[in-house]
Amino acid sequence: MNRLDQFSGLFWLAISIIACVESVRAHIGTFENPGPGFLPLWAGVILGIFTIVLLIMSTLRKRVEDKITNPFKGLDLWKIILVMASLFAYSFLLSWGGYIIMTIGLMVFLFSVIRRGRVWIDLTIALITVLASYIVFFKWLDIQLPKGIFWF
Amino acid sequence: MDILHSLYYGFSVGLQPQNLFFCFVGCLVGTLVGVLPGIGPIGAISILLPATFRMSPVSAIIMLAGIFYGAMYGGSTTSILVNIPGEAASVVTCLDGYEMAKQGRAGPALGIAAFGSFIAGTLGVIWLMLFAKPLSEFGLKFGPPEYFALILLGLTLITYLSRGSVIKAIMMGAFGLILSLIGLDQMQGSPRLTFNIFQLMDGIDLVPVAMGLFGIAEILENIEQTVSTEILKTKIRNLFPSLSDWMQAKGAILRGSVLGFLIGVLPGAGATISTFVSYAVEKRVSKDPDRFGKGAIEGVAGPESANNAATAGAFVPLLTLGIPANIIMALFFGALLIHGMLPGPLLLQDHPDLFWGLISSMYIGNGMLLILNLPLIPMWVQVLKIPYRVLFPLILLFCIIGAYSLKNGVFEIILMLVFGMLGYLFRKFGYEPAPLLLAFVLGPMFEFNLRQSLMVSRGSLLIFFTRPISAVTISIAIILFITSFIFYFRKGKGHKPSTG
Repeated sequence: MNRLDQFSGLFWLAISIIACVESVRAHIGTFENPGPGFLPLWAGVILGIFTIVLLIMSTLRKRVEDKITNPFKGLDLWKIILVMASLFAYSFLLSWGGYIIMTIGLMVFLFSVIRRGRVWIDLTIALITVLASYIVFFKWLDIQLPKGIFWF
Repeated sequence: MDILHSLYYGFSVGLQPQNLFFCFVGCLVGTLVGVLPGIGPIGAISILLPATFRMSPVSAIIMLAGIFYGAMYGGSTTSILVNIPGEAASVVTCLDGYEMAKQGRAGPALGIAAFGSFIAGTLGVIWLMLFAKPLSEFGLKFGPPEYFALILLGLTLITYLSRGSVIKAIMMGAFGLILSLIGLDQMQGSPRLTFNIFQLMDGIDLVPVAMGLFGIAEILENIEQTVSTEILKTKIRNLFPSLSDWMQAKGAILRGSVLGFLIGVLPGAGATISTFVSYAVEKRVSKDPDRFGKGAIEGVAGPESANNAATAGAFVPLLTLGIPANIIMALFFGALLIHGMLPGPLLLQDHPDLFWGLISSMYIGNGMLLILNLPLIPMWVQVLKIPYRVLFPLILLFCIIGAYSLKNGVFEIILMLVFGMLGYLFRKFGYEPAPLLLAFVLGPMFEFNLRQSLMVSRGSLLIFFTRPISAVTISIAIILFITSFIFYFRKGKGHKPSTG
């Protein structure tokens, strides 16, 4: 059995079902007059059919022929988790803290994820990066970066 | 003569100071992206796409094109010096390029890569220029059934050519199609698949999807394990290849140029495939194939020429028929739409400044890249020494700003991060993101032409088989679809070259 394909297959089956249900809700129409749900339904059906094929094949595949190993084995998964968690936290707090403060904090944190360096060097690089990006994107390209509660 | 006049007009556009500047910026960024492992042209174009919103459409496309073909030039540097390809289309160059460097011939390897890229790139632009107008005129005969058939062929080809499981590639394509249809129906204006989330009413933007799947996901893959890069300590001498190098490489450069251009034109294929094909051909036609893998200069010249010619070829179906040939062209398709231009047969007619300005900028850009890549190689080598722990947060920051700038909101950042996580998990579970992104870009056009065709034919699917162009195209798509399964079940999970 290929557990990876089985696990992912369940995910795709759920997506397929959701797509089909929502498509019906959006009105499928007819072949003469296809509605908004026409192509999403067919796409959902195709996804579902091939997911079932994948699940059947992964179940029937013999273990001795199955050389799939754990794809996360031996990897520093905690780095991935830390990076993603920090990025999500940054996104949610960006409007509150403002671009400059939140981004300095994010940069200093991310610099230390792979390997810790000297704090003052990381802080300096972060400051230069944030200031440069602020000038380029806010001043030059006129992108309205969030100011936050500190008004900068 | 008509072409010459148009080219003259193109140069009058391409040589405008702002277009020259953005061509240079594109070439510089492209070379940098090609040199740096960890970010490829797809990620770079996705990240810089929002930065083009405030440019003119012509300048935007010129810059993005510069990044595309610039990355092909730059990728050979790390392949030859570090044995790590800067991007996917330079993988093959590692085989003989690094061997040449170990033999103290890094200079000729880098030189022939640069000159071969220049020759092939220039030839590719000439062919693009010659084929564009007749193809555009041919494309004017296309109606909804023909467009539907051509998009279907493109989607079929990309699943046929994808590495690994064909079944998974089809699933990704179907998922991409579903994602592309989220939002308001383009014909009736009613919401679908929005789950009452207000921000999804406008649909999902291309930028967060592309940046997430290709930018964020690639960064996550790179940081999951520490990889040290050791630059070969060799003196880079004699960047100008000798006469005997030229005599050995000239055939490879010409063959690579032709092959690369033709493969680049095919929907679903791309620069990466062209390099593999070129390498295989060179090995086949060589009088001494045993030299390959041990420092054969043809093994560098052919693939490097092919990938540059392929970049020009890839523009052909996009600019003439409005069909993106690969993922990068799909991003260009999105960029043109964002700038209010509809890719298709009328693009040449309605926006000659864009078409001919782009052509002329590619001539100019090829020249700039030859200058950037040869004398500045020592500088690029220094760039390779930037620690990745400093580089990846900068790339992430660009991604965040790019996503935020779309609608000045945090939702697009979150969407990008979600796709980033998905992209990372897709890679781990053996799903390729390329079919998803191509289907995502083509989905709305696919649906529009399908519904139009069915309404015209009053529900009969025969409309796709009674019109000659559509019938031939769909037949090819069906044959490819069936043969891909025959191949898959005969050989199991055979390894096929990746796209893009």
